[in-house]
Parts: sequence; C-alpha cells; structure tokens
Amino acid sequence: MTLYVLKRLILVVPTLILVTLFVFGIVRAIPGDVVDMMLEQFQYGKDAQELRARLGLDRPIVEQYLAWAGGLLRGELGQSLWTNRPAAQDIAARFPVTITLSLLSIAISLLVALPVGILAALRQDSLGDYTARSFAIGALSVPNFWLATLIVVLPAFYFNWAPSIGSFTGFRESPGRYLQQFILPAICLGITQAGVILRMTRGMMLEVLRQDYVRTAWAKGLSGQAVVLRHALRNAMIPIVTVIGGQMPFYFGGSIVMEYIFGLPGLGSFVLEAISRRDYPVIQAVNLFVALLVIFSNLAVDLSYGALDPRVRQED
Amino acid sequence: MNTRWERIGRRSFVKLAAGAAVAGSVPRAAIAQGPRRGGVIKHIGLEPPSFDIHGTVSYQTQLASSFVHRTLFKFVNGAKYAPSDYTLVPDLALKADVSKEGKMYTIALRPGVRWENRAPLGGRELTSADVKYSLERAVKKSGYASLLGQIEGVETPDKHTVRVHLADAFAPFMHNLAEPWNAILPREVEDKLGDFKSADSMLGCGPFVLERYEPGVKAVFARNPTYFQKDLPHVDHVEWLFVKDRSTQLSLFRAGQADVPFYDARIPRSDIGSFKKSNPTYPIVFWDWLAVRSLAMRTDKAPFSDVRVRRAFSLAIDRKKWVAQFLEGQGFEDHGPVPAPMREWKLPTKDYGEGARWLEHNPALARKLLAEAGFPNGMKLKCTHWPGYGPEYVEELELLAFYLKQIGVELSIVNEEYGNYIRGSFLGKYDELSWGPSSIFTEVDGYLYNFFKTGQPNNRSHVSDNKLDVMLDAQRRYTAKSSRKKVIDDIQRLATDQVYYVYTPYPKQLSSWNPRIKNYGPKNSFDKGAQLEAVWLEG
Repeated sequence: MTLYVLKRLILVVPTLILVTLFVFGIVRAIPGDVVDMMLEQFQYGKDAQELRARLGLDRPIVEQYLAWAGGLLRGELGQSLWTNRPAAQDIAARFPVTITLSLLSIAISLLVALPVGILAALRQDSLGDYTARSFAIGALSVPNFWLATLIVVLPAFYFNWAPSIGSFTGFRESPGRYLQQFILPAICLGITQAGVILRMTRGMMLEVLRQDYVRTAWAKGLSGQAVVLRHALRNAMIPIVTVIGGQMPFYFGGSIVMEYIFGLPGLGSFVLEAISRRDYPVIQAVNLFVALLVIFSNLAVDLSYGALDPRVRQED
Repeated sequence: MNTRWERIGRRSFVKLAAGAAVAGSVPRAAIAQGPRRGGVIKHIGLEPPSFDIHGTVSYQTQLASSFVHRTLFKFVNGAKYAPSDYTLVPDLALKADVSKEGKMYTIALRPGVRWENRAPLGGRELTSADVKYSLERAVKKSGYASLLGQIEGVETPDKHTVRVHLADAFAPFMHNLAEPWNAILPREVEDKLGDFKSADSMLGCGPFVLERYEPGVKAVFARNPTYFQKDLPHVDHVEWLFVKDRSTQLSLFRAGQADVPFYDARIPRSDIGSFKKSNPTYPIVFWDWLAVRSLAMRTDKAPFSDVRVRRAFSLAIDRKKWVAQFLEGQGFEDHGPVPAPMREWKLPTKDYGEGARWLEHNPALARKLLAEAGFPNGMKLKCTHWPGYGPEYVEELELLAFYLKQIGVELSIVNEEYGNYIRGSFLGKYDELSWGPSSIFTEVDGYLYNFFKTGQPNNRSHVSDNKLDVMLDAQRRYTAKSSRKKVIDDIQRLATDQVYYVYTPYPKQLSSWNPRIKNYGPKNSFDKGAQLEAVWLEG
C-alpha cells in the first residue's frame, strides 16, 4: 500500500506540470486581453504598452510561464492584476465556503442515493424500484441551475418568500447558521448528482446480491441487515466510491453555479469574476488549486479501496 | 492676484449661490413632510473591482465610493426631481465663482467639514489642500481626466479657498466636478496604504462610513455621525448587496429581503404583470434614461461615405410605429445626437431645419436615394453586435433589420463575444455597420464630442467633419449656457442632416422599489450616496 501511495504521489508531479501548462494556456485563449479590458472598459491606465509592462505581460509567453511556475515552487500563487492582492489570500478566505458546499452536496447525494439504490435493488421491478429509477433519470436530466433557480424564484413569486441570501454568517459566528446557508444549494447540487450514484448503487447491489457468498450468508440465517450492509454493500462499494471520486469535479464545478445563484462567497463566484476580468493570476491560481483538490481527492478515493476491500491491502 | 486672471464673473456667482439656497432647503423641506430617522435599506448593488475612483472608470467603483466620499458640488436628488435634472447644488463647496473668460474657478469650501475620526485622519478638517491633492491626482491618474479640461494649476490661497486655472474655458467643468469620480480624497490614506484600491482606504467625510466589507457578499454603510449635513442621512444603514444572479435579485426584492432590486432599481419590462400580482403596493415607474442606441457606419469609406446612403437608412425607420407598437408607448423616438431626456439641450424636431426630413419614415424616398447612390437593387451588409446586452436589444436590432429590408438592405447580424466587441466594434473597429447602446454620460458634451470629434475613440462612425470639429470645440468653450446652447443646436442640425449615425428608438427604464422608502426617485447618476442620504423609511 505504501508503495502504491508513493507511486501515485510521484505521478502527481507530471500531472501537475501538465495542469499548469493547460491552465496557463487556456486563460490566455479567452478572447479579450486583460490590458484591453483594463484600458478600454475600466480605464485602469493610460497607455497599453506601459500597462502591459507594469503587469509583466510584455515578456515572452515562455518567460511568463516560467516566472509563474517559479513562484509556485516558492509557494506563491500570484497576485491579482486588478487589486494586487495575493490570490492565496482570497483562496484561503473563500475555500471553506466551496468545500462546505461540496461536502454537504456529497453527503446529500449519498444520503439519498445509497438507501434508495439499495432498496430499489432489494425490491427489483417493484413500484418502489420503478419510482427510484425514474427519480434517478429525472435527477440526471434536470440541470442543477434550473432546480436552484426554481427554488429561489417560485416561493418568491407565490408566497413572497425567498431563502436568506445577501448576508453570510461565518462558521465562527454561528456554526448552525453557517450550515443553514448551505442547505438549499447543497440539496440542488446533491440531488442532481445523486442520480448517477443511485443507478450505480442499484446496479452493483443487484450484481452482488446474486453472488454465492450472499446466498450462503442468507442460508446461514444471518439477519437481513447483516447480509445487505456487511456482505453485499461492502463489496458493492468499490465501484460506487470510484464513481463518487470521478464526480468530484462536478461537485466543484456545480458549486460555481450554486454560489452565483445563492450569493455564497466561495471560490466559484470568485473565479467567475476573475474570468470576466481576465485576471490571469487569479484564474490560474484557483484552477490549479481545484486541480490539486481533484487529484488528491481521487487519491483519497483510491486509498479508501484498501479500507473497503482487504484484498487490496494484501496485494501490497 | 495675477494680472492675467480675469475678474470673477457675477452671473456664475449668483447662480451657484442660488443653488446653495436650494440645497439647503431640500432636506429641510423634506423633513417638514415627515422624514424619519433610522432603519436599514437593503439595496442590490455591485461589487467594485477596486475602490480607487481615479484608478478605474468603473461605475461600480463610483457607486460604492459615493457613500463615503463627497464631491465639491452634487446634483439635486429626491422624488421631486427628474432623473436627468443635473442642477448643481453645493456639497463640500459652498460656491464657485468663474472668471469672465471661464479660465479660472474660485471655489469656496464649506468650513467645518471633518474627515472620519479614524487613523490616519483622526477627524481633522477638510481643507483646500485636500481638494488640490484630489484634483491633481484625478488629472494624473483618472481615465476621465480629459473631462476636467486642461487644468494648468490649482492654488490654495487659504484653507477654505481653491483656485483652479484652466488653459482654456471648458463649459462642462463645473458639472464634472459633481461626478463621483471627482470626489475629494485624503492624502494620508494614500501615504499610508499606497493607493485607494482596498476597502481599508474608504475613509471619507460623506453621509456614510464603510462599516463592513465582506468580499463577494456585501458592503455595509453606516450613518456618519460627523457628517456636515447634521440632519442627513435619515437611514442608519445601507446594505449594498453583491447578489449577482438576476433572478435571485428579483426574488429577494419580491420577498421583501431587498428594498431596491438593482443599483438603479430597474426591473425587467417582461415582469410588470407578475410584479403587480406579487407586490401590488410597490410602485412601478417608467423613467427617462440616457442609453441611446445608434447604428454606427463606416463613414470613412463606401458606401457610407455617400450621405445619400446614410439618409436612406434613416428614412427606412418608422420611429413612431416603433415606439407605439414595439415599446408600447413607453420609449423615445429619439433621433439623437442629444438624448431626449436632456430636455434643456435637446432640439425639438421642428427646429432641425433641412435635416428634419431625414427623420421621417419614407421608404420610397429611401429607395430612390439608394438608387441614386448606385444601389438600385439594395445591398447586403454585416452589422456587428454584442447579444449579451439582453434579449430586448436583440429584438430591437431585428426590428431595425426588418425596416432596412423594406428598402432592399439585407442586414447580416454578426454576434460578437464581449471582449471582441468592447475592444473592437465599440471603438469603431468593424467593417461596415455596428449597432448597440452608448455609454451613459450625464453631460451633453459626452454625446457630442466623444461621438463626432475627429479621432475620438468613441467616434464609432469615423466622423471627420471640419465644420463639426470647430463647433464641438466651441461648445466646450462657451461657459454661458445660452451661447453654448446655440452652438449645440447647430451641431444637432448638422449631425442630423449628415446622418453620421442612425439613432433608433429606445425604451424608458422601468424601476420599482419597496414603498417603505420615501423620497426616492430614479436618477441617471452613479452618485448613490447623494441619492440615498435624502431618503427615509416609513415608520
């Protein structure tokens, strides 16, 4: 297992180099140069050449990349071209919001998908199973931004009520109120992602429940709970965990839209603003940070296989 | 006094002194009608990219800054004033005297104005040195610097007097002193922080102080207890909410969680019916705004170098029908170049002379002119546009295309990405035609000089007309309004006759706000602080 972790950690290095190249290149492919925008839209300076030189954008692209990569090695994520604030400072302030939303969304997805998926498999082809499958298809089909917009708009229209948006309570101020702010966006994001997990859970449970060792467990007179949860679900979990790991980018990506609609000051709304202003260092920093999160969350998922399946541990 | 300076003009003095009397009377009159102290206004706002009013021309920055920073003069505010009423009243200054030649302004500051009682200012008095520092900083750093004319020097004969010397008379000078980007800033803040970009630099002497700034969430402005207008503001707090999603903004407004649904209180036209249903007590007001729409043409090359082609385009549009049917009567037939809401400058159609005939709807004459210009079978043209302005703009452009088709002109609409549009078409970099709204200016000069003066970046039609250039310069020099008006009238006549732009009708703005806010009136200005210091909340 240790060797496996080491191999994975070594593989992270070329992945990150590729990510930095991609992130650095893609932000410069967005039409509309930051200097033009600063000058023509916001009149941030008086002369394009002078502004370009001041921001270090007059240097060759390779030189710019190396300067940025060098900064990364020193632990510097860069500074906003607009505010001069270090990107790391803003990321540190906003990351807790995004991670809370993502984790709550995952929790909601699991809370919905696991029990419903297991029950649907246990009662295959029953009304409950059909309902669960229809729900899964519905969840997959409904875009989360649409669901979020409906949740915000309809109660306001019919009942003159809207979720509390426009003020944000920090965790230290009141943990309860802090979490309360995430419930609706987490439901929107969690429910729409639950469809995939639900279908996978049902499918894997159906397959495992037909295995000989499950039949043996039933024959030994074990309780239903023990058979389903200890023997069947545990063996079905590896593919399910893989799916959850693969969905991490969707949770982070989905949080951008949720933060925008529900007015949450997270990384999503921050990077959206940065993109609209072509704030290259900030876009690069946030993307790199999210890429790191995805890489390490996938690594964590892989490591969890060992906990779920002793055979993985033994291979090491 | 230096001999090259002229004597102080009496008329300017009298006018501003009268303005001072009006300013003094506004809050008192309002209070007599029952203003109430206290309460919180929750206002959908916009998060500024920076707080430095000279470092950017962003209107988001001006809006936020105006709560805390004040200008020498301000525009009248309150429910009884029209949205484009730019009557100047004293703010940090009490009066300004203008020399006869219009090159020297002597500004008397209001004594006893104090900065916030926080480090590094410690509640010290605002002096002429602050004004000198701010004007010089604006000239050096602001993208709007040209709107102050050519400032040759700023003198501070005593701590309550400022003299500004211009190289040439510049009529919009006083007006532009009232723009939020011309607010007076304290030097100590820049000395301490290096610039005014961060929220920490928001230390002023205005009606509000920045109590809290939560990036991505809101800015909370609290009543300034040491504000020089002792009775103002009436409200204790304004929460400036950075909610970005439009449907969320409107939902919060419907639910009463926001008192004003956008920075200028606008609501979508398509939502009138549903608002009347969900919020029947809320006012719904159509008002005049200044976002004129124009079809810019490459007048520097064929076919638009031929005035007959440009006139044909203008004749194709049925402006009356456009307003009556498409805008359901709530819009302007406006044919430019001065926006219709600027009533004191706008020339009535009957006074346009020869040019008035090109404003009529006459497709037969349009086709005849096109044939004479060598296009008897019409033409196919590309028109650039940014669809992100909104669906109503796209519909307006489609309507323009419909009218042009009636005279044989087929418009191929080229939708551009914002970045390309704003640094390309918006600045005249397109091949044939470009249509869209203009930037909003509060001084008439913005709609004239920027659009018509040879070589100006906003001269999207590439106009180069010596006669017009002379008049454009002249209107800037006439500080007497009547003389300036005559020149501006002539500019309108010439521009209309030459059809350098085809102005299309545009809708009135539609706004609503929580009826508990009293003395609120829509305003074509980014001076939000001045607007909200005058309002109060119903008990």
